[in-house]
Amino acid sequence: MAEKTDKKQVNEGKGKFSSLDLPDLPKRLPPQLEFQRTRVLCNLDAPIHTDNVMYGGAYASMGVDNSVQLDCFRQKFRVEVVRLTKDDMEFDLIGIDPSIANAFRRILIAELPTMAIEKVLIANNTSVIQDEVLAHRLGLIPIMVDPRLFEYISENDTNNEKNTIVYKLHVRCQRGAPRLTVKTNELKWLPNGSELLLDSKNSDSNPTSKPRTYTSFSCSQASLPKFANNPINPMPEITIARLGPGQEIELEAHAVKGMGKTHAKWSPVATAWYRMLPEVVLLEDVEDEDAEKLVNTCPVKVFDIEDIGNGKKKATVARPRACTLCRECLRIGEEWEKRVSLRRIKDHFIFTIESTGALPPEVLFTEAVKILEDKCERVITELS
Amino acid sequence: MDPQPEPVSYICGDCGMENTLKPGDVIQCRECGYRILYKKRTRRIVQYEGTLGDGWSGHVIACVLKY
Repeated sequence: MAEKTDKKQVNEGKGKFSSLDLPDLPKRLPPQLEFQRTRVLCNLDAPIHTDNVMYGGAYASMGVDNSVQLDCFRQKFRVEVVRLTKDDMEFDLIGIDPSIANAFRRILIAELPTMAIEKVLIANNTSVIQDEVLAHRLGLIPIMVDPRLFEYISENDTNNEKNTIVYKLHVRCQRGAPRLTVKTNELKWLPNGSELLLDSKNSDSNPTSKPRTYTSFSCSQASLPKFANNPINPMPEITIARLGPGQEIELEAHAVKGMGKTHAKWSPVATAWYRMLPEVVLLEDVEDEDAEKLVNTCPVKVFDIEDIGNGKKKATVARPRACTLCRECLRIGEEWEKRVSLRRIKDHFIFTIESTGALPPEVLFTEAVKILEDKCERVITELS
Repeated sequence: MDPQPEPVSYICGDCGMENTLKPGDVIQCRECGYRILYKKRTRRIVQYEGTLGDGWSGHVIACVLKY
């Protein structure tokens, strides 16, 4: 408005029009380009404008700077926590590039360490589940301990109290008893390390010395202050095996620190994923019967009905965030694609983290941020 | 030859009963009379990796196990 009046005054003042007197070009993109830049439009057949315009000078001809500015990012970027429980979290990352959101996702899944059972020493297993399958099953059990308190073990290292957690499992189903379900609660933590003796053939040099076991703990883990009052337990109530009468399992399991990229059992998340924020827009008024049809078609109840008086009803978009992009609303009939517009906002990510139990989800995310920071620093030192 | 050979225990193939046999004994279960007996599994420790595949199929199981 201000620009218009300015122009009018200028024109009146000189009485003659000159293009030099026009105000500066607007610093904003025309609406259709702004739409393409910030929204994915989900048509019935396929989504369009799915790409992100990365090039800083992409809109230079319109006087708009598309380059990434740190200050601008700082001002716009927001994190909003939507839901946070013991092992589940949903939050919004607003004003961020998909590559960075994806980097966090990948780091969460594959590069955050946890402890997991890696070596299984089986003394006896007469159950129907084979040794190697049983070992694999044990490997997948989440161990509820902060992995930051442990060190990685390399090939030449001995298992000591800083890099290994030892569990013992000894269960037997008595004759005549009903079938026994063995749960993870039966795994007993051995803070002093392994109780199984190594073959004495190799250590015959000094027969008086203490018999050697599979680990060499210098002290009990239970005596360390960090574990003194909280024993290291696996996730309880997970079935390991079922035993028939007379069957027995006796084994020792050694857990070590590792990352999801080596094997998924070390992944600290049951899943970490994101989706773009849905935006649902009714392009024209949807009334009465059509409104009913629209509300009933949507399986996730995105739409609501509003009374507009005179017994007339109108459809409204009540819960766009629930939209799963099933596009049922566009499939009602031919003309519906012109009425309903389903979009995604390109720089608004709804991020969900489900922890397996080792660390709470909010700690997992901050750890992921630290890892990305480290990676960036490494690149900077490489370049400088 | 050992003067007194150690008795060895076997598992009955039918009822699962533990039987101790000495050389020369009849191979028959004392409980049910079944004539197939099995040797027990060795107590020697066998070591396994808690790893099969790359884990991504197992990861799905782990996620299900959790709930």
